[in-house]
Amino acid sequence: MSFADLLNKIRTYSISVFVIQAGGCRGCVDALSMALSEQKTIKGITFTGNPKHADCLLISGCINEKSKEEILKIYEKIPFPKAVVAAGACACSGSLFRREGNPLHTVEDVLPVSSWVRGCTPDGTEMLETIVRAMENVKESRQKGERIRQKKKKGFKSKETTNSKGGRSL
Amino acid sequence: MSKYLTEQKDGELIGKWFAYKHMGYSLLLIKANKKQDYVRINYFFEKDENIDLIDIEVPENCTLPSITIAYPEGAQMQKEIADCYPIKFNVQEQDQFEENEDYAAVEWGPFHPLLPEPVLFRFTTNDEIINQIHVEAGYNYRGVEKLCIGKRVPEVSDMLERISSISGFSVGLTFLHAIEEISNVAVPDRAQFIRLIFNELSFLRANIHSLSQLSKCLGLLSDYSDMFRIIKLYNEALNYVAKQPQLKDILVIGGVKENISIEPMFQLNVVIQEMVQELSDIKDTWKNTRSIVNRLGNIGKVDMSKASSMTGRIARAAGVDEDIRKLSKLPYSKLCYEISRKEESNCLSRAMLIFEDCLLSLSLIEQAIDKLPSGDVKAVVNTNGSGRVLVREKEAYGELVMYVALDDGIVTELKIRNSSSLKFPFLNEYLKGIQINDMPIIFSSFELDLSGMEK
Repeated sequence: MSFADLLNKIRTYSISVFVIQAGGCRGCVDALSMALSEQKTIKGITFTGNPKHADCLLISGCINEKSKEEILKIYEKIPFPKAVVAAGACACSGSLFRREGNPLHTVEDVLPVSSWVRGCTPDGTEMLETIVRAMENVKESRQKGERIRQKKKKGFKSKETTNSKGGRSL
Repeated sequence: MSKYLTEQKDGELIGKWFAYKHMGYSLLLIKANKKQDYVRINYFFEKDENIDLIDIEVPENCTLPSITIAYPEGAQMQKEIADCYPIKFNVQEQDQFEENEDYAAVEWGPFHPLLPEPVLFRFTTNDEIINQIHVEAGYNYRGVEKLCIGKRVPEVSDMLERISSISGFSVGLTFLHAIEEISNVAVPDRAQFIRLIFNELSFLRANIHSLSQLSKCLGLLSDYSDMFRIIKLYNEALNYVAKQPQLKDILVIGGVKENISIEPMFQLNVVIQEMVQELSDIKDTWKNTRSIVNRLGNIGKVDMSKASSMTGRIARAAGVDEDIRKLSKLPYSKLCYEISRKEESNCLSRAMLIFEDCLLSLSLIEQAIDKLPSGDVKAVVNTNGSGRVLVREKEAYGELVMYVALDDGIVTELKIRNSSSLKFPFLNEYLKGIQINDMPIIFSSFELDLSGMEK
């Protein structure tokens, strides 16, 4: 088992979420923390204050020019596999605050988003479910990617081994 | 190029401030607006519900004397003006930190991961005692205030409700009161009572939030989880009457969006009884636990002279008789209530006042449900009015002041002053000389709502 596989296996059991409240009313984060304390079926989701320990980045609120750069910095610090969840109307579309003369960004403009939770205020349980599904999707797609890579690698090796006379063929 | 007012004009302005101070006026609001190449600054003063105004016009890049020499509570409002307009104030700069090997320098915050907001603490400690401190706050509401200019009333109302999860409902309600005053709208009685119920529910949510913060700072994890149980009950209650766990999209000009039938009100009443029981139990436990009484009773003492310049529980805990509900346009006068206050002016008295305020809110909701009149919940309104008005309302942590100017149904000027603006300038003083582990408790007992960040 490679180190990456081991790391993925460890991560299967709990999800650490780094929450960015990028200028909002804090309603989405309140709803999420309430759902976290009430929820009985979804377990093992924790908040972290360190992006290097995070698996998932949850962004709520409006993103302006100033916060865009900082969000990118934080995103780069989160290790792979990582999921990005846009929570709430402000993060998904800019909501009421995205107007003429107020150039706000949606999360989609800034980062590759795995899942969206729409609504003002979105349901807390829905947000938790979305985090779990987003992580599953990210891991699945990563595993698929690894399988394809391994197949390619094997194909490359087999070509290499069959060419016994003339040394390296490629 | 920087310009100064002439010495004579400086002296006149300072003289006026001190005259108001000696007459017993308190500072209500400072607002500014820019016109061509000059800035117009308005200082609003209040005494016994009489509001007086100093109106000055100064050229751009001018340096004005600071109001903090007469009214130290105006520091944050003045800083916001200096940040937003081309004008400076003659403020005494804070001392630089002395570099010393004996002291450990600590930076705490900003709590927002992206911006230098809402608050940043820089302090030095020696043996866990804070000996130098410097607290900086970001802008409060600046982004939203500017966004609202030039917009029609319903759009502005929707935006203001989302200004903060703590006091968003109160801000939205205050704005509607201002518009209704300008347009001479008579809100139906039933709508006023429903608004009152929702307003008290918003105070309740904020107060429980404060208690959960305080119990977390004290390390009382079982009480912290109890608070979450109470918040769950609150959400259940809100789901009955608002059909959602947040206080949004409820208000419209001239009333409320939807009528509430009697059945959800009864369900709300049942949950209220349960919450009263839970809160009373926790209050009794705190009151009778010696370790909590000693811990909270010995810290965060605020002088009466300073407390009278502030608003909310921090003032009432020092014996100031403050009842902002009587200034409200909501029908509080038809209900029976008594505002509690304390004399000790420490963290314990403030914590006990939070419990009492929660119980008061629950009692007011219960009374409002009993006295709920029948009738319409929406008046026919014409929002194309023009005028300007200053409205004072209660928010969860103190007094909320809003200045609104309307021109043919379009908002031309908006300034919001919440309770945090008055309390924040005193924070530095009361955090100096304390133990570092008392800092979160004292900070949470100041109850600052600095969440209306740049959007």
